[in-house]
Amino acid sequence: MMRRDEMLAALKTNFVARVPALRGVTIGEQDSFHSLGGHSLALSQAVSDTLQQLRLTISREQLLPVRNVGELLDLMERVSGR
Amino acid sequence: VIATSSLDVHIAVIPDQAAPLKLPLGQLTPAERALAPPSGLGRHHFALGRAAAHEALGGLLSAHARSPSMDVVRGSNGEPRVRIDGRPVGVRVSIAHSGELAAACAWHDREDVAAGVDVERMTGASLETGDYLFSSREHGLLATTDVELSTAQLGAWTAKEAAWKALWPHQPRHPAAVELVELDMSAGCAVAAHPGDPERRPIRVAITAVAGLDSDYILALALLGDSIWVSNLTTILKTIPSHEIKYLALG
Repeated sequence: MMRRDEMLAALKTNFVARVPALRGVTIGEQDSFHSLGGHSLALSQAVSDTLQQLRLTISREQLLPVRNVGELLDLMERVSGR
Repeated sequence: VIATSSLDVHIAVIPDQAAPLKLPLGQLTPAERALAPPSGLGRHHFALGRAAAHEALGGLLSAHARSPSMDVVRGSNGEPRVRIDGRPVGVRVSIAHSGELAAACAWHDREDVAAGVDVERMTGASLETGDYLFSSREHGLLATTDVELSTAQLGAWTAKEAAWKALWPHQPRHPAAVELVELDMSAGCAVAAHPGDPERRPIRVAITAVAGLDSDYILALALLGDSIWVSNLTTILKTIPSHEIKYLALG
């Protein structure tokens, strides 16, 4: 099972790859997607990239209510621990 | 200017002219500059978005009072809030940014109408995100569209995000939760709905392509609560040629 900090690192890498403006920006678990600059399409794609890389399957119904990076990591941990 | 029977919406579209950052920042108020990210591309994009907001607001308010102390700060939920001389005014603005283009729309605040704008750079790449961005119903709409799939996907997403903004403050957490129930990319229009809205009010969206300096973009303008505007709006948006994109006098 992948560690939480490894999941966060993968997310950050993909966020920056999709949104170069986030390079050098501190991204923490309390950050909402909106607080990261409102790049909702690119950030959604980054989430999708990360799930694909980590071979995690999370349904749309589970993903859409997520409020911030921490909640997304919670979800990823639950799924990876199945 | 989009004029309907009940609502005037002023739109501004501004490309990044690669000017030194101090120039667009210099056009903002101290309160706005304080909101900008401390450095990097984010700071540049913020300045561009606020510049578009000022252009749209200037157009809306020119017949009344265009104050040099007008600024756009953040409300309690991060939404843009317009102030003049530090006091809130009954005007609203929606701001969008993508790549090297910013767009904004402004309108007089009313309880029964709202607007939202979004812009996305066209890359030609498919939005391969499984079922994250689009519902199964929307995948069905996309499968029957008569434009290239990547363009249809981007147009649909831009429409969803504009509609999501128009739903403020009753929007779902993620723009993807707003669902398109109609999509006609050739005509440049869509109808969206928020499944959580008890009244299931339709949000009408006009979609068009806009030429930026570096790429083509898709621009969407959504209106909630006005039923007669959509054909006029789509026609007007389609007539925005690239040379009418607003260029700032940045020295």
